[in-house]
Amino acid sequence: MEEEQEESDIQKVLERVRKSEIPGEIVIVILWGASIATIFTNALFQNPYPTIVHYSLVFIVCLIGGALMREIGKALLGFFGAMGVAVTIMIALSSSPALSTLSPQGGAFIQSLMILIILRSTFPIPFIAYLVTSMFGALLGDRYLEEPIELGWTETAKT
Amino acid sequence: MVHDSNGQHLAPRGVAEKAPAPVREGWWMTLIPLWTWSVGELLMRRRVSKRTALALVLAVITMTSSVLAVPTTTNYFQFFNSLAQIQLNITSFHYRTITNPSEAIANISFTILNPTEYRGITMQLFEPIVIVLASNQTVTSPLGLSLAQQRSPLDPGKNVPFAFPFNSTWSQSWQNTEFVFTIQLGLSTFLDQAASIVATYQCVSNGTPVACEQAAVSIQGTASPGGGRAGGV
Repeated sequence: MEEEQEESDIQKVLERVRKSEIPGEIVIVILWGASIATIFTNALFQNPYPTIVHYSLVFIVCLIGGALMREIGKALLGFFGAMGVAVTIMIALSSSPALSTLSPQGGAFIQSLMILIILRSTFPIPFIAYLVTSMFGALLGDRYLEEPIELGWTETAKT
Repeated sequence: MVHDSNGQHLAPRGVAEKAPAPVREGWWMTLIPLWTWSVGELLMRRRVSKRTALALVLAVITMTSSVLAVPTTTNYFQFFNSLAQIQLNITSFHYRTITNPSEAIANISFTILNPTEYRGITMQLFEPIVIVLASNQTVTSPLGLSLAQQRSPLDPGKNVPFAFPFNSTWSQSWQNTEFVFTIQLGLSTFLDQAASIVATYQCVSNGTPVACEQAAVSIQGTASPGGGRAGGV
């Protein structure tokens, strides 16, 4: 009897999670941050500063991310979250060789240089521009995207 | 009736499946098909909301940029590895006194070798300083030799030779003579826009060919994206 009750509770929680907007928005923020990180990584590890193409791609990503959030407040939080995820991924990736045996003598200097490059590439002008873009995206999303995100979109076809 | 390649029934576009779909154990499971199914194909098969479709577009952008970032990240890791493994060797050492017994001419040949598979490092500056030790004492003041500017790509497995003569003092009374070279290699890399990389090597030779040891790798000057160097890191 208790087991059935527990199972039912778990089902209820799962169902609530499935219907909630929050898990979907967390996924969006992670995807948003990961895409910013990978686009910049593409640039930083070979140029080392991003080009106009990289900045434009991140602009599009921020527009999409903001639109998916649909609300200015959520877009703001989402943007900060995504930038946090992005900068963390970039710093972790650029620092990892300096922490490993691959590093030459003084690898820490290159690590600090990469951190400097990352901060210069993302702050302050691109950061502000992307923040505004995300807000604008939220306005567009609020206007044109009314439906909730369907996390279970692969399970059932919509009528 | 439409079937997929596995023979499973698929609902026509816009028509719901009659049988109820099984409830998934976790919502994150829904992300797995992203890795295996083509999103375009799925969007053709099932009607999804604009917001979900846009989320899928974001997922595809993330995956595509992640895949594209793999080679550049690998390249970056190889760059570090290569920087650590660049070898500097003294391949020949000729030292002979000239008519005046207190002077000598040295002809020393170095080779620089990149033993890794990484391409993208070019040697652009060779700046040696030498001191001579005899009986564990410095018998010459540090002698800065001529700065050699020579752009030579350090291609994988290729020995880049570097030879130069220099004049020095010499005394027949010196015992256990050692030549201590401190060599700074200015390297051109993908980081050039931001800073110059200098690898410092130490070579201690008693007049025979030796392998030098990498003492440090440092950065000289940093530049902003618009150019213009300032300060050091």
